[in-house]
Amino acid sequence: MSDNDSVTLTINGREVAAEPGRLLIDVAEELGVFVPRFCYHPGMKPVAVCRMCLVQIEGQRKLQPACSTPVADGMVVNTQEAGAVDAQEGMLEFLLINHPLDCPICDRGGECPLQDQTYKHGPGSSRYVEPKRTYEKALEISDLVVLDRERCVLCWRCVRFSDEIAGDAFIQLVDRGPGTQILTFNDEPFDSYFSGNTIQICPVGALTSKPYRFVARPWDLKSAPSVCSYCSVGCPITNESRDEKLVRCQALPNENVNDFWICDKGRFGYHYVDSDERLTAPLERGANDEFQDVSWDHALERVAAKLRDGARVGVIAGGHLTTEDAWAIGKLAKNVIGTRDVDSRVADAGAPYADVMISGLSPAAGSSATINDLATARTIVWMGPDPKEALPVLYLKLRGAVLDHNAKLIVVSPRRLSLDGFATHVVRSEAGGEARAVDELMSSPAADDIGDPMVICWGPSSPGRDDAGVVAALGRLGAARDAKVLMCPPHSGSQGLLDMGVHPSLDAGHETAAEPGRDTRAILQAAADGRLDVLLLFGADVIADFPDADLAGRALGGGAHVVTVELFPTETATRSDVLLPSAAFAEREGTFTNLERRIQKLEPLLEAPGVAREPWRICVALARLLGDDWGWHSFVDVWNDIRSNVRTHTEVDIDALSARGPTPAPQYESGYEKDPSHSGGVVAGPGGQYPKGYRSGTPFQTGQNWPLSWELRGFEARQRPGIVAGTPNGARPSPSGSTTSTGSAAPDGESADGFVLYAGRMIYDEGTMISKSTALRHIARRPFVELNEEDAKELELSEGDEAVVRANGTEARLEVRLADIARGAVFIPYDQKGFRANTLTSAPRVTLARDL
Amino acid sequence: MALPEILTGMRVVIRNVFKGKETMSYPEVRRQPWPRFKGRHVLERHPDGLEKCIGCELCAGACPADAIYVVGAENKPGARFSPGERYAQIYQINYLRCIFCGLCVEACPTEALLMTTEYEISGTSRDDLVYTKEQLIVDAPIQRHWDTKIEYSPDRTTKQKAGRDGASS
Ligand code: SF4
Ligand code: SF4
Ligand code: SF4
Ligand code: SF4
Ligand code: FES
Repeated sequence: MSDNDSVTLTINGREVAAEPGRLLIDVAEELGVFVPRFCYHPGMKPVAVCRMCLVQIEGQRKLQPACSTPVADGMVVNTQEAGAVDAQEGMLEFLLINHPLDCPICDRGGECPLQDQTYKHGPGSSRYVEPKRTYEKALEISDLVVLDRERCVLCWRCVRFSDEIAGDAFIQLVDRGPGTQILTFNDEPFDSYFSGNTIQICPVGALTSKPYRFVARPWDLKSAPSVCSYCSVGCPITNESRDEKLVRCQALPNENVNDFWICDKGRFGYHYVDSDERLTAPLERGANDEFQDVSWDHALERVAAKLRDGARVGVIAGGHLTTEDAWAIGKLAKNVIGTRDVDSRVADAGAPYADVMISGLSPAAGSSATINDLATARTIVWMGPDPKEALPVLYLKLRGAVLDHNAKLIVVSPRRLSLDGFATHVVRSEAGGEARAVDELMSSPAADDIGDPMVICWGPSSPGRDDAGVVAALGRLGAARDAKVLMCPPHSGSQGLLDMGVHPSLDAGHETAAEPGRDTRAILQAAADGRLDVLLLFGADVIADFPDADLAGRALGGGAHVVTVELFPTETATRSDVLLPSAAFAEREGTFTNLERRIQKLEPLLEAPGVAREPWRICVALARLLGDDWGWHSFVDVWNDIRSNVRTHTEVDIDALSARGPTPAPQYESGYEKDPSHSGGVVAGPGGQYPKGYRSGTPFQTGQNWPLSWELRGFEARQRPGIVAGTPNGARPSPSGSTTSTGSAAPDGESADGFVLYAGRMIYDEGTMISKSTALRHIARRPFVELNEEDAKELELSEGDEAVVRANGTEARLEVRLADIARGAVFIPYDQKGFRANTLTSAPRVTLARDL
Repeated sequence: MALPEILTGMRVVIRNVFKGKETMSYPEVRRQPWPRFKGRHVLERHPDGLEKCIGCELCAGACPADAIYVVGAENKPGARFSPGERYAQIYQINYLRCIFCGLCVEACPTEALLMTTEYEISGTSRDDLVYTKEQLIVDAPIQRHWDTKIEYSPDRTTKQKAGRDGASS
C-alpha cells in the first residue's frame, strides 16, 4: 500500500508512513518513540558504533541499529520488547564499567545523555567490582576545550565532526582495544575554529568548555534564544545566564542557516556583554575635557540642540546594530534631521553593495540565493574574503555543498584561501586583477564545470581594491545563466542596515535614492574639513575600523560635535563629545538580518547595565525632541512601522519569528519524559515540555528556560526558521544607473610602485567585542605580512624575517610569511596583537623592505 | 446541679497545677534538642584538613526553599581546597529561607553537609542570616548570643552546667 515516495512501517504497534531512505531512528523519534543513542547525530553521517540504539525488527535474526537502518515497506519494529531492552541495559552496563563517578563535579551533570539514558534505560546496578581504568584527568587540549578521557564513551562524534564537518581532524581515536582513547595528535592543541561544537555534541562530559568550567550547573541557568552578534551568517544560539551574567552560548540548530554548528567566536566570544568596561550612563565632555555622568534627558537635549536649525549632520552606523536600530537610524537621519549623509559601511567602507542590484545579479542590494541554495547548486563561484576566517559557518556550508552535494566550487582569489583544499578549480588572479580573472573564467579550464544552477558568492575584499569592477564582472558572468548571488557583507547587522536604507544611495526597501548622499569616506572627509556640525556615530568605531585611521582621526578633531552610541569607551568614543550607552545583543529584543536576508529574532535575557538603552530608543527620543513623535514604545511598534513603510518587509510576521515551527506529534513513549502514568507528568519532546525540574518552562518566553535539550535533534533544527525578507517587486534598476558607491576603489595602474595590499579579517582579532571577551582575547596571533616567495627573494626576505611595511608615510614591522599569493600582492590581517591594519590600508599599495 | 460537670472540667486544671513546669527561663536555662534534631548546617572537613564539599551544587538543586547558593571553582596547584578538581568558591545558606527539611544533607554526595542541633539562629538584619562558608565550616565556632547557665538533657532527666559541649551533641 505504498507509492514511490512513501513506505509504511509499524513501530511499537503503530503504523507510520515515511519517506524511503530515512533512518529508522528519525522516523521513530517523529512518531514519539525515542530510541536511546550516543553516536548518532542528525547533523552527521551514521556510523553505528555505540550499539545503544539496537531495536528488534521482525524477520531479522539479530537486533539492528536504528541509526543506520533505513526504513522499508512493511517493516515491523519493536523498541520495547525484551530483546531490545536487554540490549539497552547491557550496553549501558558496559559503558558504565569504566565510567568514573564524576557526576557531581562534571560540567555535563544535569544535562547529560549518559545520565538521562542510564536513568531511563539502564540496568540500575552494576556487577562490575574490579578497579576502573583510569587516565590523567582534565587535559587542556586547547585554550577552550578540556578533555577527560575517563568519561569518554567512544562514540566518535567529536572525531566525525572534526573530520566530516570541520575538515580539520585535530582530535582522533588513538590506540586500540580497551586502551582506545580520544586524544589530539602528538599532543598538538585542538586548534580548530569549530572546536566548541564537539563540546556541545559530546554525549558525556569528556569534552567540556574551559571558559564555562565549573561556572554553573544546568539548573542554575536561565536561557533565551538569540542570534550570534558577530558575523553576517547569523547563527542562532541560546544565551544562558546565571546570576544575571551571560555564562554560556550554545548553537541552536536551524537547518537553513547553521545546521547544528557555530564557530568558536560565536560560542566563546560572549564575555564582552558582562565586561566591567561597559558604558552604563550617558557621558558628556565637561569644561575641563573630562567626561561627566549626565542624565538621559540632559544628554539627549544637548544632542538635539546641536541637531536643530539646519545643522550639517553626518550619520555613520556600525555593523552590529539590529534591523530595528537600522530603521530608526535611517528614519531619524533622512526624515527628521533631513540629511542624506548616512552610511553603514565602516570597515567595508565603499563596498559596492548597491552594485549587486545594479549589475542585475539580484533584485535587491543583497542575496538572491539562500545559504541552502549552495547545496543544490551545480556551480558555486567564490569571490570574496576567506570564509573560514570571516564567515566561519558559511565555510562549513560551502564545504558540505562540495563534499556532500557534489557542487563544483570555483575560487577566484589572489591568495590561497581555506577553500582551496576542496575547490574544484582555483583561479589565482593577478594582484588587483580579480575582475579580469572573473571575465576570463569562461575561457579557462574552469568553464567545463560552470553549469546551472549557479550561486555566485561575493563579499567585499579589501579597502582600495576594485570591488565595483569585480561585481560588474560577476554580473556579466551571471547574466548569461540561471545565477543567483549570495552577497556576504561582514557583520551581523550589515544586511539589515542595507535593507533599512542606512546607505547614501539606497532607501529602505532597496529603492535607489533620487539624490545620493555622502558615503562614510566623504562624511569623514567633510568632518575633517570642518564642513560638518554634528557627527552621529552609532556603534561605529571609525578610528579602529575605518580603512584610513588617519582620516578618521582628523574627522573627530575637525570641529564637529561628535555623538557616539556605543557599548564601550572605544578610542572613537573617548574622543567624542557625548557618549550614549547602548544595550548589547543579549539584553535586547530585536532581529538580525543575515547575509541571505533571513530575519531571526533575539530574545532579551539580561538587563542592560546601568541605564543603557537600545539604539532605536535613543533615535525615538531624539526624534521626539526634534518635534517628531513616532509613538514607538516596543519592538512591535517598530515593526508595525517597518511593515507599513518598507516594501520588502510588508510580509514579515514577527509573531512567526518567535513561534515554534511545526513539530511532530508530542507523545513520547520513552525518552526523557516522566513515567506517563505518573500524575501530572509532562512530556518531553517536540511540542511538549520538559519535566519539572529539568529545564522547565514555556518555550520562547523571555527569561524562561529555553527548552533546548542538550541532545540536539533533527526536529529542533526546524523550530525557528526565521523569515527571509522579500525582494522589491518593481523592475530591476537599469544597469546604466549611476553607481555612487565606488568609494576609494581606484583601479590599480600598471605603473604604480609597491605591492598591491590586501587586508582581511582573521577569526580572532583585537576588535572591540573580542578584545573584551576573556576567553578569546589571548588567541589573537602576531601580525604578519603574506608575500609571494619570488617577491620575497627579490627583497631578500625569508619566512620569519621582520619586514618594514610602509604606506602613506606610516610604517609597521611585520613578520614575513611566504604564502601562495599572487606576485606583486601582499596580505595583512586586521587588528592582530598590537597592530591596527587601518594605519596601512589608506593607500592601495605599500612598499616592503627588509628591516635593517 | 452543674457541680459535677464543673468539677470534671476543672480536673485537667487541677492535675496540671501539681505537675512540673514545661517552661524554663530561656536563655539562662535551656534544653538540649534530641540528637537527631535538624538545626543549622556545618560543612565537614576530611581528616587531612581539606574540605569535603566539592561545590557540586547538588544541595542547592535539592533544596525546596532555594536557600543554598554555591559557586564552584577549580582547585589549582598551590590553591587546593578540596580533593579532586572542584571546590566551592562561594557557599551560602540563607536561614531566612531554610525550612530545615534536610534534603540538602541527603543530596550531598560527599557527606560534607551535615546538620547540627543548633537552633539559635537569629539576627538583626537579613544579611546576618545568610551564612557564608566561613561561618558554616565545621571548625568555625558556633556562636551563641546569650550565655546559658543550666542545660537540660533532651528528656529533661539530667541537668548540667552548660558550656562543656555547647549544643552540638
Ligand atoms: S570525547 Fe565525547 S564525543 Fe568524543 S568520542 Fe568521547 S564521548 Fe564521544
Ligand atoms: S559563523 Fe558568524 S554568526 Fe555563526 S557563530 Fe560564527 S561568528 Fe557567529
Ligand atoms: S534543610 Fe532543606 S530548606 Fe534548608 S537548606 Fe537544606 S534543603 Fe534547603
Ligand atoms: S555541600 Fe555537598 S552537595 Fe552541597 S555543594 Fe558541597 S559537596 Fe555538593
Ligand atoms: S549505534 Fe546507533 S546510535 Fe550508536
